[in-house]
Amino acid sequence: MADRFEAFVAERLDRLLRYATALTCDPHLAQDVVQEVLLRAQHRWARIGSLQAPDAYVRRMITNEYLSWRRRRAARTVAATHGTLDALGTPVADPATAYAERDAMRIRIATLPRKQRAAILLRYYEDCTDAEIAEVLGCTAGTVRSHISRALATLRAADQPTVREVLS
Amino acid sequence: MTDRTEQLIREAFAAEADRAPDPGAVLAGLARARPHRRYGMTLLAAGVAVVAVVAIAVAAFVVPRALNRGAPAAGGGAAEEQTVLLAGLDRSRYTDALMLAKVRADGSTAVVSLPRDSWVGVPGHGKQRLNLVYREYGLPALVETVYRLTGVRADHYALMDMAGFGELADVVGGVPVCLRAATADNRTGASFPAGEQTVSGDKALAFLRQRFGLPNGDLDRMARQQVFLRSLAGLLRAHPDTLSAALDVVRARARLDPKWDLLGLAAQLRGPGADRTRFATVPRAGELVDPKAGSVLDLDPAAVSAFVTSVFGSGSGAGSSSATPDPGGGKSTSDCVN
Repeated sequence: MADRFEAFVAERLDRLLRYATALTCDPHLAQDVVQEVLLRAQHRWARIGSLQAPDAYVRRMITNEYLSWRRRRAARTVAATHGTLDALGTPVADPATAYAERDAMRIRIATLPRKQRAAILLRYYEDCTDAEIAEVLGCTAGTVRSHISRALATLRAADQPTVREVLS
Repeated sequence: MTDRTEQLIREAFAAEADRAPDPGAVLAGLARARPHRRYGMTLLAAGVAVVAVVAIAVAAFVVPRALNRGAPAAGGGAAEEQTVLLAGLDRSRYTDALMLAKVRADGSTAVVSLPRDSWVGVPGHGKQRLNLVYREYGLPALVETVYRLTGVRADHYALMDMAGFGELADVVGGVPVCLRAATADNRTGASFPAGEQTVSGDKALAFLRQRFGLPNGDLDRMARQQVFLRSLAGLLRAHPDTLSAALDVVRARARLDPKWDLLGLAAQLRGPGADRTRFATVPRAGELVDPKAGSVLDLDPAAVSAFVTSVFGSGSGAGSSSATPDPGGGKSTSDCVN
């Protein structure tokens, strides 16, 4: 039993951390969230391990942990967001336009409401269907579509300020 | 329009995900939270981990002991050469110490120090100071950067909080080192008398980290790190009873490549060459001043690559072509440094 949990961690940990980092836009928070979730998953591994897709279940746990984590620690979140912007703004040493555009997008994504961000992450990073996203977020497929279209509207806005304008 | 935006979103998420923390940190966290259930590490494998972290050099001595004391290793299979990136991280996650190690089939090792101030090309991010690559761009970027510089892509990695080295020094009751002259670091207040002395805890950490107030700055510091590791390895070898305490330090302070076959490494480190470790520091082309980064070390990747190839390729008994400030020759643990 324990072996199978450890095998799961060995195989999936890196991917889970990448997912959590993209979700939180904060590597330190991602580490805390994943660690917390894995500790809980380990307790209940008899059940989770027998599921058809344990990784999808753990990913859902991570997503929910993050959503509730931010609710619990609102005060910290503000600081974390500023920290994120700083971190995103620092490596502008590379002036290549492609990176500037991408980094501008990272900042816009980082400032999205959390459920919208989770929804587009599941769509564009994990390539999930509306139904799968609805399952993770615990809402209807209609709500998922609404989250995604709002997020896209924000991100697509061509008149968004650039990275440097935001930071200056 | 939409396609471009979606493409950017994908790229942005991928870039964000690249900042993911090291899996080893989470593994260590899980291990700490469940001290009664050893997390995926037998005592034996953890023993190997000590070696890995304390710069393989230590491992070369500790592991064979651990194996002799415990159950026979699974072993088997031809030992393969492997390269390992070893990093000591300060509290801000800068790599204070960075070494590239090669463990040969016969168990002998060669370790090359990479100066923290090296001015290196980071894929996708231009030229940067080496010590901030891990912190700013993550482990994969560091591995790639070192590959560009040295021509060696590390098979595995081991990261340790620098504080762990101070704790390891405590475990063995202090590590003897020798200084040619008294030194004082105005920034940290750390000062050391000339001559032989034993350092442990915070003092050991200060010894390893001091670079101000030394004739050759970071180059002297790398020499200190090398003699410290050699000395520490000797002590662990002489006092196998300290192994379990050393393991505790490693469990708490180190992050290891989870895909690393530590048992295989352990078997390899029982080889006939296991007691031979060679340290060297890569050649520098000179100093230069970057408008933003300040004073940095200029390296010629071709020269570095050739140097690393020769150090890694030659047998462990070959003469020393080390570019480390010459400590006056000899191999004893009492080599004096600046």
